Amino acid sequence: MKNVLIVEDSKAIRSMIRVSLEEAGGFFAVEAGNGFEALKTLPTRRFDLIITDINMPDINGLELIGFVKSNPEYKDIPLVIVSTEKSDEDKKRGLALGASGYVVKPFTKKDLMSMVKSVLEGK
Amino acid sequence: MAKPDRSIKDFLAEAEDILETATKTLLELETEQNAGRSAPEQVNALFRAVHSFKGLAGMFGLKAPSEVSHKLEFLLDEARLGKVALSREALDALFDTLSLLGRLVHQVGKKQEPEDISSALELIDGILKAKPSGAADRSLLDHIDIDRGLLQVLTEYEEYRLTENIREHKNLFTLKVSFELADFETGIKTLNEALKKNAEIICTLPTAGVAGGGIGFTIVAGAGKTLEELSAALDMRNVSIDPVPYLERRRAEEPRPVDAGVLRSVSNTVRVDIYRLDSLMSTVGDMHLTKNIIGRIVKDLRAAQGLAHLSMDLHKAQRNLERKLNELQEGILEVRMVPLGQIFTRLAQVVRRYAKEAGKEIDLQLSGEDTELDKLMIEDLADPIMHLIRNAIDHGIEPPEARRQGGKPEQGSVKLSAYPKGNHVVIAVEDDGAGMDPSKILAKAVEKGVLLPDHGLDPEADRKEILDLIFLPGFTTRETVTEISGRGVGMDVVRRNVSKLSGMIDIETELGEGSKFMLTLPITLAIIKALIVEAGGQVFAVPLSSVLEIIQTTEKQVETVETREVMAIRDETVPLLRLTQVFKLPPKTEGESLYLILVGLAERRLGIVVEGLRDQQEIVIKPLGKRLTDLPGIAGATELGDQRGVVLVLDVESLIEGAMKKQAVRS
Repeated sequence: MKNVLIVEDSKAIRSMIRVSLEEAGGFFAVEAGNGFEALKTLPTRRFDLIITDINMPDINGLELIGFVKSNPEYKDIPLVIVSTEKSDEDKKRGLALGASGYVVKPFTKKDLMSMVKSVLEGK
Repeated sequence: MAKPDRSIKDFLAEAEDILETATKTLLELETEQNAGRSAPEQVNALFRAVHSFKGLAGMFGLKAPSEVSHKLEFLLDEARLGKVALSREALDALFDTLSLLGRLVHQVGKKQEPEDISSALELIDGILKAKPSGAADRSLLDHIDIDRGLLQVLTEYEEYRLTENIREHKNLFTLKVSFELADFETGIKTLNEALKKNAEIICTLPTAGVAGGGIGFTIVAGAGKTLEELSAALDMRNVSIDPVPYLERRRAEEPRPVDAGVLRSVSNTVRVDIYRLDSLMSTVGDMHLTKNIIGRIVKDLRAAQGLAHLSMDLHKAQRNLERKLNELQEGILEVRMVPLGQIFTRLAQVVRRYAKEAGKEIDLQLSGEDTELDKLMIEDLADPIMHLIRNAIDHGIEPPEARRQGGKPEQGSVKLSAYPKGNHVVIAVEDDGAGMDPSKILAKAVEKGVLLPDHGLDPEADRKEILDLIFLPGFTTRETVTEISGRGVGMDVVRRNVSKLSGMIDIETELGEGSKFMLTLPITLAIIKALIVEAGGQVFAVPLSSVLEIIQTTEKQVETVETREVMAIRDETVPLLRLTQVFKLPPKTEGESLYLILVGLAERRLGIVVEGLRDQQEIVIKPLGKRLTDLPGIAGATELGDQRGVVLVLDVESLIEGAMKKQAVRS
């Protein structure tokens, strides 16, 4: 069972990601509605993957990626960015910070799962 | 004319809220600009408001408001990134466009054709084409001495704000603070609130906490204040503030009249937290109790000598109180009601996606979106309904080739309908797919180990019983349940969710023609009507929403099948349950007649045997307190407001559950 942390401020998109993972099987998904929640959730279990949005209030996705990658305890957890076509520049920055891949909203379940699989296998 | 569409009312309420916020923000933005200050927070807030409006208008399929807000969102995104200057003309255009959105919303409310929006779109295009104010000048970043790693994690917007602060010669600071993991959220929010009054927060970066365990934050802020002023204003001991070195400054323009048009409201909606309504409802419940007590006094007075006239007057007053209470209760219930259309729209989108994924063509037909149900219930229903629809698409509707061969149109049809039925609402999911084959279900149940191979069930004769097998845990092929939401994927979960809402599930299926799942739900769970019954000398309340019918019968009609008491009711054999046995009460000794309370939850039926019926009453179920929670068969207690005092309310769900388990053990 792979533990996945989903960080996304839209409840609808968040649960859509969770359901996609659950349906694919072999994943245990934990949801966080913003960066603060993500920070609180990170120490609660060993995560195998983080899927994060970029545009969020308080702490955005890039800041979260920066935090994960600079923290010895979490730095090996691969990250996947979900963002709109609008935040193209931010997406590039996320990759530069060490995110493993991205999926552009609106995405299909197939897009998401093939990205998740390739990121987990490539690790 | 048809009654006003509730879901459009929802749109109107939210859209007006957003536009009101947007207009307020725009006024603030203008004030700031007029005072010669830049107002990045306001521009960003305005962007977010318009972004939300666009999303909302899109959800309701409103073309004109969507198009205008899309264009406006683009302009504001460019503006917050400094790619477009918000000049005097641009601000005027923003005011005009917000007024236009207000009018478009108004026209939606009045069911009028939207006015022409082309000139507004052109106006915004004009601003976008105008000379840019100079996009983010990243070279400015070289003018400050700041940790380069810190710059890497900034979003485009944050980076732009930093360069703007540098351009404006603001004093820049880095603030470092650490908190315990348990309470950092309150800590950082308090600090940010205080900081916002004195500075612009450019970014908040989480860092590993000092001395292990905790969490730290580095905040970059720009302010007109000096280090001393800022330190004094914050007055927080655990924060260390360091200045970041910097560079020049600028001015702005004159006032303009406020457009009152967008401030006028079209709908009179007030939003209320549903839990407040719950507490009002509970007060109404208590008042019903008091009313019942008055009723008792009326009876006592009537019996007393010489007080007949008083008794009459009080009786009249009591009846009046009852009428008014009922009106009040109905009023509150009505406020709690929302149209099912709210979830139908969400579901329609999901259907499109699932159909695409499943490689099937689906025509989704919705009806009865106006049917209303308690807001809290609607939320709990979304998952079960979604699951039924997915089942219809995955398992019900055949692949296009198979449909063609079967003489059906390639496009499968899924009907989602809702209609009121007395105090209940029926929600049906119907497909024109393959239907369910009892012999296949039997085979699968055996294969999955939920049924022993020597089950002795006949696909024809025991059809209903066999169809019920699909609700057993373990029958569904895919079963993943998360700890987070407790939501699982399987018919057993659908049944559990529906039972929780005191609902029932019925299945109709015809091989080759399709299946229909019908959920029957009580309209609300707040105050329930209960049947007051008697067994073994005790009084119990049975939620009327679970009661299918009451049958007066005799002991002679009770049959015993394999040590289990059952009764034939029309074409169905219903297992019986005696309350005297469940609660170990002395059984009634004399008399042959008895009452059977036929109850049902999800697809299961049970006959509860009682000795007497009292009446029906509105009750508010109160919990039993910690020591008595989870008593099987008891949902709580309620006061009846007469000498009967406090009585126990039966938990029909757990009684059925218990009875079925017993049956499984015995067979």
